[in-house]
Amino acid sequence: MDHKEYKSCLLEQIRNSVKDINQIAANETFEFFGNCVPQEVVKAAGNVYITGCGDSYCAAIATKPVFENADTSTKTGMVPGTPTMAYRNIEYSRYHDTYRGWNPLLNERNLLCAISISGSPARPTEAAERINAHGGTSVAFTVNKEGNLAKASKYVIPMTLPSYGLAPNVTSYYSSVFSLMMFGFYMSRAKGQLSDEQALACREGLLEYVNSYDEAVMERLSKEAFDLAKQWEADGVDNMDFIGDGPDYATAFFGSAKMVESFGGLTTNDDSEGWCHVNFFIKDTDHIGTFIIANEDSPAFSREVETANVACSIRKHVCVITDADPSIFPESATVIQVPKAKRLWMHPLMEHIPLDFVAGYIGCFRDGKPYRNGEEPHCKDAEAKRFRQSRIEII
Amino acid sequence: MDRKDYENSLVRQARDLKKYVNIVYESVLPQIRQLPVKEIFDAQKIFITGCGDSWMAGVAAKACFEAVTKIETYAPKAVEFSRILNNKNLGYSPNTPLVILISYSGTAARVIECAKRCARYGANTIAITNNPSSPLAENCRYTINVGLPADGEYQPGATTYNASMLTLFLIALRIGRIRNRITPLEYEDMNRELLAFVERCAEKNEEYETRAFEIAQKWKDLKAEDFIGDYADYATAFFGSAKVIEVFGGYTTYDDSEDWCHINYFLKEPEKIGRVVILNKETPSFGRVKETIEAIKVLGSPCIIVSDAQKEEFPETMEVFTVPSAGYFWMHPLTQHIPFDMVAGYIGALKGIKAFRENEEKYHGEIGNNRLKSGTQIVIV
Amino acid sequence: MVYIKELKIRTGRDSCDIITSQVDRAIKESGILSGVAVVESGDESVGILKIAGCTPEVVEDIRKEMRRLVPARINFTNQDSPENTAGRIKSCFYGSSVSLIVKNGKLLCDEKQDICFTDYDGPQDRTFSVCVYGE
Repeated sequence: MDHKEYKSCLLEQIRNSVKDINQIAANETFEFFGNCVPQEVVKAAGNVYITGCGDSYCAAIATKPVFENADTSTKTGMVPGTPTMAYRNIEYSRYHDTYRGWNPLLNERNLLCAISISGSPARPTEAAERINAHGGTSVAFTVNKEGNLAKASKYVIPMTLPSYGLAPNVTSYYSSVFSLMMFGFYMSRAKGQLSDEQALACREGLLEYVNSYDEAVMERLSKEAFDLAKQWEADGVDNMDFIGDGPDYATAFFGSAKMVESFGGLTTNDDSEGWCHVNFFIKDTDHIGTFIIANEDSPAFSREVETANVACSIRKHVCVITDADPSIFPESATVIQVPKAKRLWMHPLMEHIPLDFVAGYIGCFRDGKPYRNGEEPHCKDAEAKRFRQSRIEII
Repeated sequence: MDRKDYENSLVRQARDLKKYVNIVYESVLPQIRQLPVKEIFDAQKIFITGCGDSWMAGVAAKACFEAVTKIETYAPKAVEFSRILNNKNLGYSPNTPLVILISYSGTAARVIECAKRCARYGANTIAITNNPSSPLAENCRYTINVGLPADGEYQPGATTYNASMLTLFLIALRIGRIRNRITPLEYEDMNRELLAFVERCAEKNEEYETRAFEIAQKWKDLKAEDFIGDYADYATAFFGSAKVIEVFGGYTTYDDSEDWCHINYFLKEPEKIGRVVILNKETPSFGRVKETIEAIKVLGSPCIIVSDAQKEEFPETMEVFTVPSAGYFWMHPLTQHIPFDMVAGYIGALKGIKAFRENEEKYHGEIGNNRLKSGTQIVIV
Repeated sequence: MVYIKELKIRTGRDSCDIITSQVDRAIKESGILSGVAVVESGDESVGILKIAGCTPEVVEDIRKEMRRLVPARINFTNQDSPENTAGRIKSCFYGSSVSLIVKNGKLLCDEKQDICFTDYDGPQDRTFSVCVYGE
């Protein structure tokens, strides 16, 4: 079978991603954000916290640089923006400043971006209630305007997403990433860190990058991912590890989550240095697949190339996702080249696509049910009470 | 089967914990008292960084720094610190950081790179190392020599992990004392309790060894281990996961209690995955982790719980290691990794696999042996 | 005749605790009617003071003046702890012992003055001694 003949909700999401992002962008203009969150509010934000669970946490890591580095005219953008932390949800809602004590003088300047597409998990709602209780501002990024998160938050960014049926979610990830990036530009514009023209240029540059994943590119990525998935499947690869640094770590984390959701394979994710210290020693080197996300403009690129060399020296299945020249990497690695973004911080919006394709194709090969839907014992908590009905505690 | 036939390094290191903690305590305390007061007062932020176990020690000690010094503390990974972190965090007002860099050997390239980056921007640096003439020590303003004897057994790292963590705790206490965040009474009490707590834990070693050996016999055929812990306990979870790989090269993963419910819950064949949960009754997410344990019960995975809460708090089917409560909650990571270290050690011994794939050539070729020490060092401006 | 009694006190931060009644009690227990009572502490960073008209306002003024004259600094030569080092200097300047006349089995200055235990680096558990000698 040709790769195009495979169909699933996950593959459909990936194949429509460029069109869907453009649709989302048409709705989410600076005016849209201005209607949701007044300029004075974002202007007053001294510290930004971004949090969410699962994919939403990946979106937080991916977009942190946009808030911190308002002047994105340089490749990496190392100029002052707004201090930003990307927090694991449980850490924000239970541990942030719990041991230090909250400073009432600074609380008003704290702004929390809580991401949850469905708006139903307890933890993002708890995070919003916590920051409200301490005098800060909560902004919900959600589709569900009537959900718990939206009700608990002071402001709501009502996202719109096309719906695709039960599948590992890619649409929600890239829409969260896009919305947060736009919100970051909006904040910088309000604070005067970006002029109107610069903010518009950032948005247009981002969309230009999205559209660089044109039909030909998507076809190539799909084919290469399909070939990789087929080969690895034939070789018995069931477990995978993912390596990425900085914002690319978000892509690594996201890719690893998609594998688990799609076919239940065991995955880990780490940065390049941590991998060399620990995961290097995994014994079953013939049946583990290693993905490395390595973009040429990343300050950690040299380390990622070294890590690829180390991985190839002991492992049979190494794949590098990169915008660099494939010849830099060892011959034994499969290199999937992605379009180059003008700015490093743009990459997380699209560079996960090859990983999503791999997850989608392996899911198809195994006829597996995404999220182990209907399978024992996972179906015992089909309603996801484990995170929807978790007790909220405001610390 | 007699567990004495399956002696291993991690079990031996656990037995020697009390001895090495006292050695390190006596070694580092006088050095820490020499750290200049002005630079301690200057610090508006604290960064603790390292690679592997050293980084985990930083994550584990973060709660201690926050509780005792009340200073914003971060524990980024070394590559994050040296290549990605915004440079405005690295020098002078309003951030004026104190950066603590950990490397037992003092030769890890990335950590040295972090030190050089700090020097470029003027951040105050303290190296924690066992090698006071190492490149790391040379690139830092102050060095704390951990003082572990050269002839000790330290691989896989458990003693070194404890040594780094203890040194961090003592640095935090000194900062807290000088900046009047803790009273002299509290300072004296915390110092006493650190040693007393380790002693109480050491008394349980025999019990842990017996149970760990029993569990290892059941767990050695599982396909993977999955670790769960929040905040400081996340460090213990990550550490346990690292030991699985180092000791017998097994498959493993780790996450916090919330994210686990969103992602790792969906791993297939849950009955073949051993789950290890670390939680303490005084932590803010105790209730949440207990909910996660209920979800593990639904999946039917074999599960080890390491906690200072009573066994009765948890489902009967779970293997519970009840550890002594510490006088101060942030001390727990110092000893809480020990029960699973022993399980991992026994699994490795039962499988007959050497730690760090000692006898497997492909891991110890030129590239493998130099993967941490060599490599381009870049100072990001 | 000599009578020595050791007493304990838990102090607070920058505390100034009145210990006149404990000194009185020690003198009564000694049975000495005429002589001298010495109140002294061997702990570092503490003071034993004799304060006339010891009201909270007077104590506050004394505390502030002590801090003004010997502030805690980060550039002391002794790098132990700023509060501790400043405390030792104050202890040296203001003294950590006081001698009192005993007449008719009680302090001569009883109603007019108070004996105070000051801790310049508290809170801590401290000890002080009362030595009464006479007949």
